[in-house]
Amino acid sequence: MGEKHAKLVTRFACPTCRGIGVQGAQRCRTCGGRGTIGRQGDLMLYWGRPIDYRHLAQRHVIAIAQYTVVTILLGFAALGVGGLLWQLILLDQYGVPLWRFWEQQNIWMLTFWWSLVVDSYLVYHFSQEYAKIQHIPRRARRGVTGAAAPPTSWETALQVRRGQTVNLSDLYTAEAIAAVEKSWEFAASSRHHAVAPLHLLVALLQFPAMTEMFVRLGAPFTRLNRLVTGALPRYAVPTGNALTFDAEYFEALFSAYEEAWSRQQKKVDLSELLVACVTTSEVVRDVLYDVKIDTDAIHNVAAWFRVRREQRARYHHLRSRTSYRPRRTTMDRAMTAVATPALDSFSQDLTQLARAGYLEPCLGRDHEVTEIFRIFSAGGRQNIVLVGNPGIGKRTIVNGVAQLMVAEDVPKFMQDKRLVSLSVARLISGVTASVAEERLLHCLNEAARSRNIILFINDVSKMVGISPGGSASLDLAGALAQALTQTGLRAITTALPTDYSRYVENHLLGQVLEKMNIEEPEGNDAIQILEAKVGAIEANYHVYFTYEAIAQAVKLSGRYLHDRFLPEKAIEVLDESAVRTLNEKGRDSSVTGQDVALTVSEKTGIPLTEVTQQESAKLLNLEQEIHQRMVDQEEAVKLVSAAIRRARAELRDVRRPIVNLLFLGPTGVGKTELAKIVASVYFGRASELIRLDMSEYQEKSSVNRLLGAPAGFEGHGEGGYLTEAVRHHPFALLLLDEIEKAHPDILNLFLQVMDDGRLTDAVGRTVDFTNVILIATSNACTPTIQRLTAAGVSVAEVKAKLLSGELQQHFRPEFLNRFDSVVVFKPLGMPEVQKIARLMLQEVGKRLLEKGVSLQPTDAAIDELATAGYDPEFGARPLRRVIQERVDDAIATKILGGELERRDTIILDVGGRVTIKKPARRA
Amino acid sequence: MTRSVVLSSLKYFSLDLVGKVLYWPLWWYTVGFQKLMTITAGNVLEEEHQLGVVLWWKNLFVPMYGQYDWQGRIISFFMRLVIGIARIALLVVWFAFSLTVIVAWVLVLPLAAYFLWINVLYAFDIAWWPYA
Repeated sequence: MGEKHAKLVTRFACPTCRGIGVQGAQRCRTCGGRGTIGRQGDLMLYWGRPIDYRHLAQRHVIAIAQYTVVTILLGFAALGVGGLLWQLILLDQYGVPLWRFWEQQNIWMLTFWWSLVVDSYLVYHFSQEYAKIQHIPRRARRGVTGAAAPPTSWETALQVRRGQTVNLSDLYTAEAIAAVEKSWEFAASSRHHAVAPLHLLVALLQFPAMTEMFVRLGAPFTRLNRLVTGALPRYAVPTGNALTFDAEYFEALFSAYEEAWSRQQKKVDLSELLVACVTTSEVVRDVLYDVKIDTDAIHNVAAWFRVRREQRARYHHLRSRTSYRPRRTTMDRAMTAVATPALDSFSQDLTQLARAGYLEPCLGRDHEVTEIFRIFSAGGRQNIVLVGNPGIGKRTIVNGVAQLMVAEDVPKFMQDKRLVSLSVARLISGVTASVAEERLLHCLNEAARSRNIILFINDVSKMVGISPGGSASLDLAGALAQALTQTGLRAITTALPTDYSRYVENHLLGQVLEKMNIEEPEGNDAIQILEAKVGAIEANYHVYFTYEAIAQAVKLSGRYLHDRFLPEKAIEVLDESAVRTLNEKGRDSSVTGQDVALTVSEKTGIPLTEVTQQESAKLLNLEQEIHQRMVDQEEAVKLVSAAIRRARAELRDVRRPIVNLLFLGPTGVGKTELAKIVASVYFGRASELIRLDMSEYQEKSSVNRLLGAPAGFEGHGEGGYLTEAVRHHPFALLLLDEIEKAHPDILNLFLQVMDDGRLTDAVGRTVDFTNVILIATSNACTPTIQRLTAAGVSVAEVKAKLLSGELQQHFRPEFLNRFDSVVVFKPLGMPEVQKIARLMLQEVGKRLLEKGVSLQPTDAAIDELATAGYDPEFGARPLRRVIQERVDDAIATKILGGELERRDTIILDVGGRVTIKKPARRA
Repeated sequence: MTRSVVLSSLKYFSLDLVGKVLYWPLWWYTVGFQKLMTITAGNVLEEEHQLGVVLWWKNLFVPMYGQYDWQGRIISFFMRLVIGIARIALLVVWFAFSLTVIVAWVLVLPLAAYFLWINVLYAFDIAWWPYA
């Protein structure tokens, strides 16, 4: 009862039957079985197609009878024509003039005259049937206004003027009606007591178009079937009423109408019904959620199918409308234009290309196209510059304008005109600036005289600065600006945002061009643009895209390919994924989200595919793997491993680096070593470690080395060391060694990196740091750490003390706050150094194994080396030197002396004694 | 039950059919004729737009190909005159065709009825005018 939703159509449920249309076994007398009605402005909407056994059977019988009668009549009409032909043949044989056929009186002519009557009846019949087809009223599509006062109850909702009632079922396509009827039949045959949107979903799945939609959604049909079967029994509970649509079902029927209305469709079709099922029913949402299909996905796939339908319709419309335009000529229809030979040699006629069907369709850009028409119609600047990044569809918008011009769906002043794309490259190629200017003026003159030309100039900023004389003379862009002002010629141009602000804005040209920003499409908009474009890729490679592939292409390229823009970068990813799928799976296979993830992975080096079992085991045991090469420092190892696991499970904040860690501790305790180990264990190769020795960045000017030289300095345009390294290896470990030694301004740079995950280089490129593990190491506060740990204070307490006091003398609080964690590395004791000595000797052993020789150090030798290499101040750092001197040198002497052969074993003993054990001889 | 539904449906269909047949001649000369006129007018206007007859005559004195010298103007005037007449002729042909369709629409039923009558009389060998 009363208003249910504040939507386009306000629903009112019958107060007697509560919106279901029946009371017990009888039709509700209050609403006459309508159950729920809707009000859209002064229109009253209701579902007026009764669905029960009797009505279904009746309609079936009538349809058969009608079909039979019409077939018989058509057959008779054909017989009549045959009769006339036969009569004509007879007349010809008897030598009677054919035109005297009407004088003949016989059975053939009798049939013919009868058939004429039948023909006229058939014309009447089909015309009547055609008149029955109703479309969503145009007035309703524009929105209904002017209703006196919105109704507030069932009774007031019923009060409409004559002719203001709309039977919803008249606005449904035959297939959509069939789906509704099938859902009822399915519920009836299952002995359910209510028909709900879930039944409608089952019915929809029986239509090939819907099956295709679910294939695109990548739905596992067996699982979907199981889930639906599992959810259906809830409708078998007796309600005390005859089987009828439940209130939610009526809600879905209205919702489908709303969907069609808001998408400006003429009729409610299957895809609108599917969307309505999902939006109105929690049960349907739950079922689909379990097969990884959410409401957004349904909306976007429905949009995909709708766009395909519209593309076909638009193509046919374009074909039929292009017949007005003169073919293969540059003339207008009144032949008042002038031939433009010079312009033709430096340009391409976009309207001719559109007429021939060579231009790609422009979809989802209606707003921009309308804006172009608005600017052209307005009294101000009548020339436009579309400003936007490369690949976001500026050219496509212009192509769209060309197509509309061909179809003459444009304002009057643009009708019967040509859109001509003038090529700056052709104008200036191989000639001096003065010749180029002469060519341009010639072209502009022709265009102005012809009066049927609208110019399109791509990248207009390229014309700035091409000047035939000194700095005071007019450059190409200036000449263009002058011509546009003086001749009233209209032009659409494009420019990149940086070029526009640098070259065009303050130029003469900037004063004649109205700036129109073209934004990069994002999210669902980008998905729907891609859906309109994948048809061509599918036709090229004979593979099919699932919805997930398209959604992944938008999501992953948006997140990981920062140099370029949507939709172009996503199209490229889809294109490459299609090629891979064709090569790996063959023709007619489907491109899945995984295929797209793999393509983006390969382009960026970032693991994006689903975690495999092998990788999952590796991630779970990351600590053990790191500890095979790293002694102690449990906390640091744990933190790094957890951060990597979070990143791979996609639980981290994707707008910041994977993790920002500060390793604090004395020298030689393994800070840098841990970073190297993480790089080689997780990234697979140590080369994914970007190491910056911050002691080299003590000067303020060294910022230029990190970000690249600013304009006017030597090396400008080459990019900085840091930004270039991360741009080429976005998934890497960034190690900032000895960070306390860097200049404070450089530390400020890293504030942005750690907070926003991006940095802009000197060229203006934004570099993505969101897939970087950032580890900074520092020896700051070493004496305190050593003193406190020697006094037996725990690592946690040491860290707390440092953070609250001494560390702030070295780093500003906001810098320290940006780190996810500050890890204190405790100084190494003798047992740790012994373990390290063992690990280092294992490294030596590995190198010797390559020569076929094995190394066996005795425990005493290891202890001796550890003692010699241990220094409380320098940690394990001297150990490497000791091993080099005592072990590597001794073995090198043996090798050079020719004493070692393959299969020999070197025994390393105390005092650096090296003995060689020969293998036992084989019998 | 099924039988009764089938029978009632057929009954409904038959009654509906009778109603439709009765309405058909009326429709033919009222709603149908109006529709025919609308469609034909639309087609003629469409053809006019295709041929650009009005556009052509409007520009009778505008030189073709932007030739604004007096020679260009004279040549252009005569050229436009000739082509304009040709286009009007084409439009007239199209109009005549449309008119034929309209006349056929109006005459088809009485003509068919008349000739049917003649042929039925012939089939039963009856003089249609006993006093002849």
